[in-house]
Amino acid sequence: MLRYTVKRLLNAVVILFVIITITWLLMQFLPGSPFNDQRLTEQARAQLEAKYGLNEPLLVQYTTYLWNVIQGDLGNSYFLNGRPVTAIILDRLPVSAFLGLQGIVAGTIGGIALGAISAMRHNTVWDRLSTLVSVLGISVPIFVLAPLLQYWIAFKWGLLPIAFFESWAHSVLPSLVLGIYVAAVVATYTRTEMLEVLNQDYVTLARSKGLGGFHVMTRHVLRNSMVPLITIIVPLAAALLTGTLVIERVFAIPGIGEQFVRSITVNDYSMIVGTTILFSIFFVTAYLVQDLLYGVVDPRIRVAGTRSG
Amino acid sequence: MSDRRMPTDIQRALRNAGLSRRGFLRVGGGGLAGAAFLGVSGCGVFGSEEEGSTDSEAPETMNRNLGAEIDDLDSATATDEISFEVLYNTMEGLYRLDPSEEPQPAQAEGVEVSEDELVYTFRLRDGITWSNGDLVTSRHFKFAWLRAMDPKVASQYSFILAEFVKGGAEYNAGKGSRDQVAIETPDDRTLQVTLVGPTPFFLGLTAFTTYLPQNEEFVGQQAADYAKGAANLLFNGPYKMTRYSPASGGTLEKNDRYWDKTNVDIERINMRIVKDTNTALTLYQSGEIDLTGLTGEQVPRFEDSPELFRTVNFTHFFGQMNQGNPAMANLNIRKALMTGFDRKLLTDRVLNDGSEPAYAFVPPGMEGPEGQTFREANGDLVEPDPAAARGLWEQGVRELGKAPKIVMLFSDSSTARDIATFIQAEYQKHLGIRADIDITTFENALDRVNNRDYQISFASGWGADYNDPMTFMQYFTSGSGFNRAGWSNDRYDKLVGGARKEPNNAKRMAMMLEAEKILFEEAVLVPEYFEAVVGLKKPYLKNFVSHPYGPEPDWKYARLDKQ
Repeated sequence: MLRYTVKRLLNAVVILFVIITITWLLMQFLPGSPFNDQRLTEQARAQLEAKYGLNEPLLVQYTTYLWNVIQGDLGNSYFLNGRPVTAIILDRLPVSAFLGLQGIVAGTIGGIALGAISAMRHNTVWDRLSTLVSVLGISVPIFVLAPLLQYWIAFKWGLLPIAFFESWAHSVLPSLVLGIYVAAVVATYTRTEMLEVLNQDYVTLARSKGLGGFHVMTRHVLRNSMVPLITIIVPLAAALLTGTLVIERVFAIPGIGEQFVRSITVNDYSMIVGTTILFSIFFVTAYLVQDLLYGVVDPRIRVAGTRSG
Repeated sequence: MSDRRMPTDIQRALRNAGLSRRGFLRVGGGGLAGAAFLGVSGCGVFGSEEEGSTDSEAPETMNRNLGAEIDDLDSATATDEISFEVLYNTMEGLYRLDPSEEPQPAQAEGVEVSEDELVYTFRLRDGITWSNGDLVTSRHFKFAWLRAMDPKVASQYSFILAEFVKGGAEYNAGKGSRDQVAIETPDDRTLQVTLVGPTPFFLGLTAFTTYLPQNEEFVGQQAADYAKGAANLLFNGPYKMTRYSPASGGTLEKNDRYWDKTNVDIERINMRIVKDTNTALTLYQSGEIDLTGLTGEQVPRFEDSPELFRTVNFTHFFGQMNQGNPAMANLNIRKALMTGFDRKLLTDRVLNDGSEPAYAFVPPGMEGPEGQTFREANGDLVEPDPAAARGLWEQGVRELGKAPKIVMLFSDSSTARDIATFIQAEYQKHLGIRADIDITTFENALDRVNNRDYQISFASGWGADYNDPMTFMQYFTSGSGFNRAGWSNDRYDKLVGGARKEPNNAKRMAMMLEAEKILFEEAVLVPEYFEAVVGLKKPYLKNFVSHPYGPEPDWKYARLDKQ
């Protein structure tokens, strides 16, 4: 297990290196430059490029950047008065991660419950109702759902704050919107998987041995339905922890997702690569966690080298 | 030895994790508990834990939506209007614009101007201080101005000083030295500046953000940290900043060391950042925000509301034609494109936000000859007659030998898309041509215009930096760094160049009036509209002053009457 983990970590470093290089190169092909103000004369542009080292040959720029990254320095933003990229990320990431985590946890639990009810009460009103809910949750886009819930729950009924991020109460509505989407996805998968497992011989056997319905459901059916769930939840979690543009915009939340999109539109090179590196780390870690979780849920999918450990 | 133990620990931990697979469902419960814990403990992620955060409900607090991040509070390098607003209200230059845009003595108590209008000797007020108690001295102005012109600081707005102050352009270009810039400080309260030419609007310029003072000693101490946070700044204006987060906004509090504090009414300004225009409107309606902007789509709902306010800015959106392109080099083709659409329809039906149709280059309201605005003096310069455009187009086609393909460059905002389809339809109707629309990001559009890689561009406009037609007229001069139309005209250059040196205001205005006419005889641009800023403000917010150019709004004059 340990050897496997170390190998995966080394792998991750190589993947990160490739991602940094590709992103950095692709950025050179981005149309425009960070300095594009209409009032920018040729002279002022040359001064700015000299200030940020953009007048150096590309190879020099690339190796300098890589060297700095190895030392943990992701460079300075071309905007925001030259603030360090790491400081901007540290300022905004916790906000997005908190919202994402809350949404993922609530959504997963809600989704499993919804899916389980659906599967256990297959072809009843409950099943249809929960299927309807999950279909709506998946198909209504967040940019429709978020303003809708904001208008009714926060503005009309005054139950929660409309926007901003100043207390836990402020985080409930945006997390709810995220959670609804997660729950809908999770419920669909849970339902399908459980229905399949329910038809397995060992379930029939367990039942015939006289085990209670709840026991069979939680111990046998639900657990054996977990594998595909992990496949979808883990990358989803990585995506949500790194922020969502729409939620952050609608609820005026200073998160990282919004910042990332802005940095792309204004060609803030160091911010783009810096955030990409961060997101890559999230995803690489997420997939590592995913592989380890498979083993936890289903002993048959033990990763190579586990037994020797 | 010891490093062999660590791995076994990890192994044990992993094995334990393996054991817990029986209770895998419990992980979910644990996660929920964890989230709840995070929620209760706050985990340091919530804005209210930032120092200096304030109660937005308080009757003496005004809540303002900035609409975008506060990028840069270093007055030497700031370029965006949000930072300008914060800087203008927390710091103060030698002069400040009054509610009717007349410059009034501010940090300076007065000025003496030499006979030839080249030497300005400012006398600072006695005892004016920074927010830390330091005296504001003439050296602080000199330091800030030189810093903004320093080629190493690479300020995008350096031109607004370098163009006017003698020796500035050379220093900024890296050709002259710092000592040759004609700013003298004979004593702590006297600042003497020598200008390149007579500049009747110079006092207004000293109100601009790039002209704000900086405390040399403090900037030196802060070094790279300067202006990164509220504690890394000093203030000498009506307000001081007590909280600053680029992402979530800031808080301004009345500066009790400000020389004119008795005339500042609002105690606290809570600056929020809401980018989504619908959310901003909802917050306004719920009373959480006292002032917010509106988009053209939102305006019709509030057409009759007494809370609606509107300012037509000194900002002109116009099409520019690249004369390096063979079709654009033809005068009749240019004239056809200039006159081939109905601007009134554009502002009334498409924009619908109070913007005014443009029939000339210089916006209405700007300074003009004695007793008149520039616009009143020169009138409309483009015939609002799209019907005649077809004849011009056909004439141009005959001259060229064949009908040219027209490609119009636009940026990718929703407004720009609406304008694009409108102009396309108008050209189809009046000229009988099918012009292509080329939409790209704003950044890329600017880049293409810079590189002259365009035919006709509607991607941008031009806003005044100061209240004088020169801020517009210089745009099309041959040597101008802003002229990307590739148009050059000796008579125009002579008139504008002459106006720059002419001390007599009536004469220089006459030169600029004539120069503006040349732009339309030559059909250099396609005027579109003068941009309006529209928004809603609560009735208890009074004396709201929003200048049509430069940094705005000015909160010094505003009054808050919350019951």
